Amino acid sequence: MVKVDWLKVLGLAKKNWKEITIIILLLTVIGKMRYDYKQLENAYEASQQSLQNQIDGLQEIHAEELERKEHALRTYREALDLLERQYEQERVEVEVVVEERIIEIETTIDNRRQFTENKEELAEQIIDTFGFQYAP
Amino acid sequence: MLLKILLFSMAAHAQTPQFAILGENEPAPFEGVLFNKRGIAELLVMPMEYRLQCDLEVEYQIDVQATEFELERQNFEIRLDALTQEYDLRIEQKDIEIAALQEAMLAQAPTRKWWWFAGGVVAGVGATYAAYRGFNERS
Repeated sequence: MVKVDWLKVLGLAKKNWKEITIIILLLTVIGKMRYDYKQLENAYEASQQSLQNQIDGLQEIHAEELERKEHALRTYREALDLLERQYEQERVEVEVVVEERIIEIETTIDNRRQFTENKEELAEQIIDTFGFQYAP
Repeated sequence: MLLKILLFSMAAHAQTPQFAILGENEPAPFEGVLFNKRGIAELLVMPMEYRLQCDLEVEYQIDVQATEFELERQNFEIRLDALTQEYDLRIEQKDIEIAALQEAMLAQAPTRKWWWFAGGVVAGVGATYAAYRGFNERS
């Protein structure tokens, strides 16, 4: 067991009190600096964490946005395809209606003898349609 | 498909539209154009055909425009949603960051700052005095 002679220590401290004070002050300053540095590091980590969260969130939002836009575009293309098909079908229907009407007129001309006996009927139709003057 | 077959069969049996140009007294009261049965029938139907085609075209174009508009509207809505989410996220993260920084700042600032201030003044004065004494002793 080492016995400490406190009187000697006190004497030594008294003799070198300036050096001891400087060392204590130096240690205090270093401690404070380290503490401040740690606080700065914490603040930096908080900012970094916040930015990382923002990046992750933004990437997620962006991916979702792209997916929704893709879906909207797909729906638009499908709707356009459907419209195209309907348009084509209706165009054929119009052609059929027109052809039927032509045949109907031809049949009426034949049945009602509109080129020979009932010319007036056909003339009336032409006048109604085009507003031409009939000159028999 | 069925309609196309029907149309094809109707057209196959149809007479070709024909016309002739007649001069004066060339069995006609005046010079002009003579159409056969098919020709006059097609002419008589023409206004109706144009009307139907026009209606169809207008309807189709309106539908296309409406579809394009719907896509544009949806895109704007999606963008708005994304921007709102982005804004919320940024605000939320900034709030968290501010709270963390505030916490760090509060940890820096002592709660009994006047005591610390007084202690600092006393320590400063003491150190200055001690230094003064120390240097004086040496000289």
